[in-house]
Amino acid sequence: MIEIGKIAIVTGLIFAAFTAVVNIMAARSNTTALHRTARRGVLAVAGLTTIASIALFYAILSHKFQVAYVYQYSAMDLSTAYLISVFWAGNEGSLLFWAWLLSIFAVIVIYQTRNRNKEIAPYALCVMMVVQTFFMLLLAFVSDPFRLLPVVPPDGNGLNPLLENPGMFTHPTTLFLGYVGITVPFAFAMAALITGKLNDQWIRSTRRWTLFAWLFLSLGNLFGAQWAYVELGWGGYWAWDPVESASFMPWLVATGYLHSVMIQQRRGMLKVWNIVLILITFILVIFGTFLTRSGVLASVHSFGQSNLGPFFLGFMGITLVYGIGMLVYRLPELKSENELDSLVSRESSFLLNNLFLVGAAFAVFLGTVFPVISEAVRGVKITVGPPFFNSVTGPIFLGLIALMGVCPLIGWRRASKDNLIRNFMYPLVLTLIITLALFAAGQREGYVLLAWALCSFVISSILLEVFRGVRTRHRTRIQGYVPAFVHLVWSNKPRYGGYIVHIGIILMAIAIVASNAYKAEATATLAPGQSMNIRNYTLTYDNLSNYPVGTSRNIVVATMTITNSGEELGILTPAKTFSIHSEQPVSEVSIRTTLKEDLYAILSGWDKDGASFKVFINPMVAWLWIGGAVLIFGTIIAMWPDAREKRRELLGSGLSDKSVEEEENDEA
Amino acid sequence: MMRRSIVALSFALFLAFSAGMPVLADLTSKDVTTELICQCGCTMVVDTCDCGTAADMTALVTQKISEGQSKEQILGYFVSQYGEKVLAAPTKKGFNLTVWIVPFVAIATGGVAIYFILRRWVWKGKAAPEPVEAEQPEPEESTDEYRRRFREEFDRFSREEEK
Repeated sequence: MIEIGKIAIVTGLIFAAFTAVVNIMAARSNTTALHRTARRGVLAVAGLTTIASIALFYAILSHKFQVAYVYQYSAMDLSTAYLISVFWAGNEGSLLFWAWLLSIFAVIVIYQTRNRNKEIAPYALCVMMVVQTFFMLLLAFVSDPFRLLPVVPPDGNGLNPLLENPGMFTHPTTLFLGYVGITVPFAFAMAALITGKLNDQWIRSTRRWTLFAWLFLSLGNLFGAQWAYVELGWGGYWAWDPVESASFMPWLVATGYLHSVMIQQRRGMLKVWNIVLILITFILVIFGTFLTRSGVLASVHSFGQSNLGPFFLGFMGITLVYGIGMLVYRLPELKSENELDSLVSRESSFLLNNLFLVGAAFAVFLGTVFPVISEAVRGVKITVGPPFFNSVTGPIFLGLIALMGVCPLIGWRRASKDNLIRNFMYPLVLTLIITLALFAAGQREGYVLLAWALCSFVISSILLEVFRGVRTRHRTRIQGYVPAFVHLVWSNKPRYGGYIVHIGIILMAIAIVASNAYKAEATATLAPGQSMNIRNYTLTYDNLSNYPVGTSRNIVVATMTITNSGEELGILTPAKTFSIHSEQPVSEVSIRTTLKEDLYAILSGWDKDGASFKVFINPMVAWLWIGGAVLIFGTIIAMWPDAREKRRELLGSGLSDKSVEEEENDEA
Repeated sequence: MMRRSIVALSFALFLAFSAGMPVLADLTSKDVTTELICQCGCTMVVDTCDCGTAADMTALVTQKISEGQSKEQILGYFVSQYGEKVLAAPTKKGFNLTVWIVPFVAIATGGVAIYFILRRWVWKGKAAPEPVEAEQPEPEESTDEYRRRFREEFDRFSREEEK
């Protein structure tokens, strides 16, 4: 079975390279037989990577410790669920995961393009197969998941205990789906450049792919934050670790892309810019994959040192040079009908939004690579950590939030003065009232006050916008407010889905601001029966117990009774787990979550006299996850198939071919 | 009615969210340890790291504060021991200044560029014939009046119906 996996990878490599070439030949000659071969080639690649993946699953699940990868990341006592997660726990396996997902996505693209996009689809598939070839090359020659050890060890090294968390199933998988998903719009953008079909066809055909990838990038980041919050045990959810930044940067640029493509679709503008954005997003995806594997930057959760760095750098370089080269080559044809009616319009606010998003990504990028630059220029090692990122990105994000409020209030094309006054008045008045109330309530910190003001501005402007739509419907169609609301959202899903996503983002922003501005922290060493206070909470240390879990782990649990202003609320059980597979014990934090705040306890240490604790109050962290759920909901609404969209696109595309656009049953 | 309840709702929402208390005090060890990186290899800020090295560094910071040293003196001590990499953020001087300034310079430059590009597009938009409505056959009644009404209705339409 292991040999089969190895053979599947090498054959898959050959097929991927072959299919890339055949796709070009098929597009050039336009013979049906070649098209069919190209499509079958993609299916073969997917089949082969699937076989390789099954082989790796088999090796992991049946404890074939002679396979170096299996030895390195698993052990006899690992539960079946975590054995499955071993597939993407290490370098080699996660690369295979990448390749596997990519090949499956290519099959979906084949299915979606069987009757349409005949001109650019082969080139897009070719680009996907080139990326596939790159990953298969790594798997075959540099980072072989099936490499054998000279001996057969009796047991494996075990999974890093930090990875034994449900986050191991949510975070890497969603992030990879997002990363690989970005490849599809990127491939179509490249195909548009290659073929010269530079209208917005490629954007419309990949709209759902982009939303899909964006959704999973968002989820990957959020699940990562949640995992860090419950597992790393330092009371926070985001530490600006290089790897966190690596997954955040493509999200920022992809968000900019999601907005700017709307301008191209509506006005035929920004053609070059959109291609640049998706190119940057894809390169940042590869950069993120590179950062986790190169060992260039020290990080909490990198995959450790490996020799993959130069390959990824080379691939990024080639992609960048080729992408920009093609762009320059097509530049004369990309001259778009750039005309505006007014400086103050939805279009210009979208451009500002792009500026801030790309600016934020650039700031994060510069901060992430600056230690390398510093060492090269001055020969001095430095660290660029949270204080830098917080103070540099803070103002940019506040600017973005402000724009989220301004955008819906400014019409497309032009906004008259009356228009602006009428639209801005209510939200601004409301914002002013809220800000003054907060000030009166004792909120004096300017930065925090500004953040609250902006968040309330966004929410009130979205509510106003929705309310106006509902009222119009209510009046013109004589519907009740609730049916009018449902119909309104349903009749323009991309727009209102987008607003729902904005509300999700604002809920997260509120959580982030509150949890930073109003947090509290206390440490204490307590003997049994003693208690500590934090705000209104009293935590009484009851006892410490110690018991084995399975054969390889031991857990030490402290029990604390919590009361809030005298009322008993239950217990917290912070613990530490010791594993024979790791020198460092792992903190198991204990959290009591309410909508208002999290009470978060860590067991730091203990001796015969007592135990020491670190306790945090993290206000409103729950809203971060609620905001995430709202974001998912909004994105799904925006992705939902829409009959009106179909009609509009039929009209818009001038009924060119059978391109009825967009598969109804996308993976949405 | 609806409007009032929305206002009341968002108001209540924000009041509920805003139970806070600003803190101002003398130099605490936290002020210093949030700006130092733990040197055990974990790459975390000392304040958040759980390991022995972080505990030792925190103890040293506390001791130096009790000796009356300022934040700058304490950070300076750690730099002399471990080098600049012990600081959680680059210093704001010399070459390190670039990393602080360049992002904002880039955004400002981009902003200026966007302004000029937009202005050119607006000129082009004004120079060119009205793209959509000009192609419509002119109605009998006065063009100005028609345009005004069109604009009004178009604005309303684009506000309420547009995507």
